[in-house]
Amino acid sequence: MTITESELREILNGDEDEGRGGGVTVADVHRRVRAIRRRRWAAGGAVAAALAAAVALTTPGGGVADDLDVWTGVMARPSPTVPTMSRPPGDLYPGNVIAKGGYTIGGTREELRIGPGGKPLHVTLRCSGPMRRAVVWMGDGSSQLHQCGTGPDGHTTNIYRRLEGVGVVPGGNRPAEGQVVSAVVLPREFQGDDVFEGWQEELAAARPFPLEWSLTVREMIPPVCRDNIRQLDPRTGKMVQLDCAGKGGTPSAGSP
Amino acid sequence: MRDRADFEQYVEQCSPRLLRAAYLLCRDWGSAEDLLQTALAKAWLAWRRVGENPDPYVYRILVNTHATWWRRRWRGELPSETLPETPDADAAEAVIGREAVRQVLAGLPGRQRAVIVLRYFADLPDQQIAEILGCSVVTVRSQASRALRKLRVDPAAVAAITLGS
Repeated sequence: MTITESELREILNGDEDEGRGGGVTVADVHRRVRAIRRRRWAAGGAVAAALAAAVALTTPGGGVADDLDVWTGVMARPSPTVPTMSRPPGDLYPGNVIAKGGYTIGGTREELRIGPGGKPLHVTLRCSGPMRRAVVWMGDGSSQLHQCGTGPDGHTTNIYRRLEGVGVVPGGNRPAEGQVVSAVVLPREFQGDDVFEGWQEELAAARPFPLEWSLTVREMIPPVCRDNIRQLDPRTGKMVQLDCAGKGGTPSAGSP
Repeated sequence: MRDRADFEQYVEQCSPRLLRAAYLLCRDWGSAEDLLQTALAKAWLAWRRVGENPDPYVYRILVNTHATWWRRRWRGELPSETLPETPDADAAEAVIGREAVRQVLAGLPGRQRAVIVLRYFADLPDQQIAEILGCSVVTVRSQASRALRKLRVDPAAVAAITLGS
């Protein structure tokens, strides 16, 4: 039996029952960046110590080893054999984008209409410019206050939040009539510690100002069921084994 | 110039597809996640130098890192207290053809599997695949042709590759 190139493409793109990856999160990637940098520093320290020892031991006319490509070795080092993840077993991932808006004016409340559905929501809010306060509302009027923008240290903070406990009816379903997720970025640059102090007054007095920002709403999806995978549960710090007992794609923690 | 927001947007938008590519390379979701996180971390460290389209650069890191890990990683068995799921006989009948292809794909030599993933999953042109793998276009096509024969793809398609289409 032969297959066509189209069928090969379909197979490579995967079937539903094969599970679909929700991707990796930005936070996971930056954690990995920090680990690589720590390895570089450690390797750099070791090289410095080795060079110091070599200088101490080498006679004035002697040579030292050249072409010491430390970074190649460090960067290419595989992670430990046992795969570990930052998410607890069964924790949901941000999945498909179901609503998205890009804006060029700050200080005004913008909203996205979300249809009915059975999955919890996750919101991402990105802001250009300096650090400011931003408020995100669900349809029931409850609000969440966050910081968004680039701080004095050059680090950019975006908002990645699962919308828990607000606008979600029992069982995790959204109301049949759908709901509205809205947000506003407040005008004043924020450098304080208390994000809650005086934000209502600032919101009431807010006027439109030029600012590029965006709001994205995703559905949370269960992670791919990965049978026989061992991972470190960040909730307990213990090594667990995923046994896919839940079948529906949600891994459950097996025996530690 | 590319910045952090740009990178984060790229990760959010592209990581599901990149994760699938990583999975096709290593055939294990845990390793694929590990591999992709490392590849994206390396990409971030050089992000300012990445051109308009980051995909070829990220795919190159993905393929090279996987090749390096495959050479170095210990491939012994891990002790396990639970047995893997047993196959479902009814479902097996329906998917036996596709499963056979997946099995062959998993058994392809690393270079051939990379060519198949880049050509038929990432939809990259042969020229770009050659740059990613550090070989000639002719080598890419010959690797693709050999892999397709093993995968029992339509001989006409295999012949078309050999003729350089």
